[in-house]
Amino acid sequence: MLCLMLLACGSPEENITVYQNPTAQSTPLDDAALLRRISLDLRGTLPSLEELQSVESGGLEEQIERYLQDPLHEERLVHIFNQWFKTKVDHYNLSYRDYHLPEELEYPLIRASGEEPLRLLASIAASDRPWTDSLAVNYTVSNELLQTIWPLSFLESEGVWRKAAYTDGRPPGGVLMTNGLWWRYYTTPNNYSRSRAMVLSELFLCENYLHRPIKFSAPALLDRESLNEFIRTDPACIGCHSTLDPIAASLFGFWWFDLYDTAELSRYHPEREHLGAYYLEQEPAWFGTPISSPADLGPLVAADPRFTKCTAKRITEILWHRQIEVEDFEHLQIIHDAFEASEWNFASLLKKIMQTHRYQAGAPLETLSDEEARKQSTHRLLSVDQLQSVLSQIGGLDWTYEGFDQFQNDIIGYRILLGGFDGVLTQAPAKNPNISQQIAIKRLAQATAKIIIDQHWNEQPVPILQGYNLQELRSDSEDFSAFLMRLHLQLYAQEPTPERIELDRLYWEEIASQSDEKQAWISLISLSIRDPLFWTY
Amino acid sequence: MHLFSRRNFLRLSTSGLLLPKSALADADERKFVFIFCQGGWDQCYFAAPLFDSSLVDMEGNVQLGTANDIPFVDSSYRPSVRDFFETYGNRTCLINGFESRSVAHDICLRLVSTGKSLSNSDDWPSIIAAHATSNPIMPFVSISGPTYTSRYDSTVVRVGSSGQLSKLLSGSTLNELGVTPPPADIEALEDRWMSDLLEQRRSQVFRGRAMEIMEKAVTADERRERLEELQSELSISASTNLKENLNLCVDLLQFGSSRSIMIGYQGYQDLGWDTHAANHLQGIHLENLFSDLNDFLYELKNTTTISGSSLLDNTTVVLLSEMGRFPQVNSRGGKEHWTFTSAIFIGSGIRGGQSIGLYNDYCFGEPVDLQTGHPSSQGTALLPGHIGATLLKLADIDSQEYISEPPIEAAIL
Repeated sequence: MLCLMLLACGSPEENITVYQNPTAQSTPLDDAALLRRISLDLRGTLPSLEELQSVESGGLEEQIERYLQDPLHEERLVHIFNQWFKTKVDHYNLSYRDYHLPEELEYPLIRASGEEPLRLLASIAASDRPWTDSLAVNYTVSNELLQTIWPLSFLESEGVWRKAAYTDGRPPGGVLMTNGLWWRYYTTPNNYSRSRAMVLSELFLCENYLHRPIKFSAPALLDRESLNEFIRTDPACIGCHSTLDPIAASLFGFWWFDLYDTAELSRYHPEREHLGAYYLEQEPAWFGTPISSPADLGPLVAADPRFTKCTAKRITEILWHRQIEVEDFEHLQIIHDAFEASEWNFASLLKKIMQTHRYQAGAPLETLSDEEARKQSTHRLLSVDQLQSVLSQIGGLDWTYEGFDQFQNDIIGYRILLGGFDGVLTQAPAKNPNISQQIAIKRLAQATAKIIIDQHWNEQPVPILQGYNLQELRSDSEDFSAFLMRLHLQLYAQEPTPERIELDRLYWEEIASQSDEKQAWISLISLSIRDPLFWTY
Repeated sequence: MHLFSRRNFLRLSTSGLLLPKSALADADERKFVFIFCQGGWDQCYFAAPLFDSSLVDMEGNVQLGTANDIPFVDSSYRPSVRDFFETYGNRTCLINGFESRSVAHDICLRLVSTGKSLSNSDDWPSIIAAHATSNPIMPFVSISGPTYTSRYDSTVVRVGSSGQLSKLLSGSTLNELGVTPPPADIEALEDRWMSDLLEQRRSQVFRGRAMEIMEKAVTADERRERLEELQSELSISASTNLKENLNLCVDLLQFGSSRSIMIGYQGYQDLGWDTHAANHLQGIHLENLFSDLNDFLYELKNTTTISGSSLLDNTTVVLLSEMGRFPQVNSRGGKEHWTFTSAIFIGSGIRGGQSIGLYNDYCFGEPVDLQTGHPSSQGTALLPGHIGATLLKLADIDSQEYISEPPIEAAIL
């Protein structure tokens, strides 16, 4: 362990710059492919042809800055943070029925509850505020629905999601004081918030209490009278509970007597704050530092050096599409140092990660073993939210059914089948294609292609067709090839080979001969979306 | 509702007329069905007859039952539980007192499913599916319930609790999108071109993640094609109804299309097993669970594979829950979480008629001699890893590659 710590602390003289790194294990993507990856990660959408052209003349940095200012960036951050916090689950202890809401608000309530903490985090990250404010601000971010059922007062007048203040006497604490976070991670009355303390440690410090060796051998667990004393004194318990219980003691404003009651779950309960010390027989503290009131909790977590290190680790893992391993520690340290130097500016963190050769990996070096080569995250699957936003971008696809966003739920939707995760029964996005995902992509490709061509045939503008009139394009014309060239560039950020153009032409002609030209275009675009070049990046 | 009647299929399939060649898997390879009771079942309602302990709150009107040498908690309100032990006890091994090592649902789910708390681990069904010696169409069918995959994520076929996979296969999903499907001949042409394109893409990459993704895409596409061929004969439609999902299970096993199947069961009317209040629901859930289980096992026993053996002879059924329940009733008539729990192994490869592991008066699991299955103070405290290692061994997989705990040898024939 000491070795690992020394590795983490020693920052080698390494200057990670775009395209140059002596320890790189992969060759980097070319400019266009890198811009496509960055655009998908920062905005969830494909770069335009103009943007692709701009990086050919060295405009990558400027393009990244523009993406960071794009309103889509904050939306994308919501999904990135969900991969970290996993709050967008399908079921909470309360539903629309409990609030006597109409059935059409079933899904909006589910989604809004899970998004509240994520949108607060995204709003901090997308602003110039230091990341540590995410644990300190005295507001949240809410939509109209949450504002009607929770004790919230809007602080802004415009926007679907707006800053809002809780009016139930809860202390400031940023995301730690959101209903959404603790709806997702609830505690049972007799667990006395210990499970929440554990979650808090795992989410914000990357410290998992379960990685510590434990052994339940204590008959006293069944004796409520002496349980707390036993936990404080038994060697098997102290390792975790000496720090866990004081954290749990600070969370009793969210401690509910009834797990299924709207009054209990909607409000913070300042009058219960002192119950932590009573039930747990431990004064609230953060790893030895006393917490005089729950208002201290956020600043203490934020000041804990593990918090920013954990942030850097989580975001790096998400953008690298793989877990951090020992050999990554020095790079992670450099990323963290840059984050610190920026005074915890989240955009700086993103930019630093995107400068690493691990992020820019295009192809493994030939000198690597097959096992090492497979570890290089050179190709990544589009996440479900990326797929959703790209299909919306190119075809205006909106998959809402009976009020449910079908990309974002598993009750009647297709989130997991598309390779996503529900945060409970499936906790990470798929890394490899499987049957369900391939069939789902096939259907989405068919639908998107049909929508695009129907719109075009109805003379509605479709940006991805770039002004070409497909009804007049002959397959033996130069314009046909030129259109395919631009279509490939738009979808994959790479030009097609002459062989691929020829194959596309043959395919188009075969469909046209069996059906008609309109169907040929639908099928050609459908095939282009099913191409792995589209759903990888 | 299944479009194709399973019984009709069973009647006809003995002649082999209905099985497309592409669907055939290795009929002799052991298959696994997992039924996961998510939320935490109460061990004191079926597996822990701790009537003599003053520290444990047992329900009223229950007594010690014994059938096929397996002691269990017997209640006149749960005749299906008694039927189960009497009918299938000789093929059942009850594993008692293994410790999930946490009392938080998320963490216990992962621990019990994978033996580890690490996020990059694969669960038992996906490991088993990945080692299928044949090339089943759907190596691991996740009808519902927890699924943790990392290295083997391409083995999983998600069905969706509202019939999502079935809708995708039939194309009715497109109706949700306001789009009509292409004509069948055009779709066939699209698929053929897609297969060619994938082969072409695969031939262009030689190593690393690019090759891995392309290879898995080609495999997924081949399986998609076989599955689409099969859909006229097999409706892969799931629901929240356990009985219907178990019927689907029989169909999948009969077709030899899968090696692992996972079904989550949320209890009677989906009320859930997490009974912090109204713990008596546990009894209702168990009665329903075992009633459907008995029917399922009867079907397995009386259904033959194409090679003529009973499905139950090459299927291991595993019942799990991520945790147990606290031995004492709380003020709301419920029970909190408990780290010690039980598992049930039934069927192929299982040394039946025994209960391995024991709860002591504190409802703690006692150490066990893994070879004999007898309680032993010098024995091993049972963990999820032991459960997993046993299942992997039953699947002819070297468990040491995945988990450090050894198998419970006494559970294996």
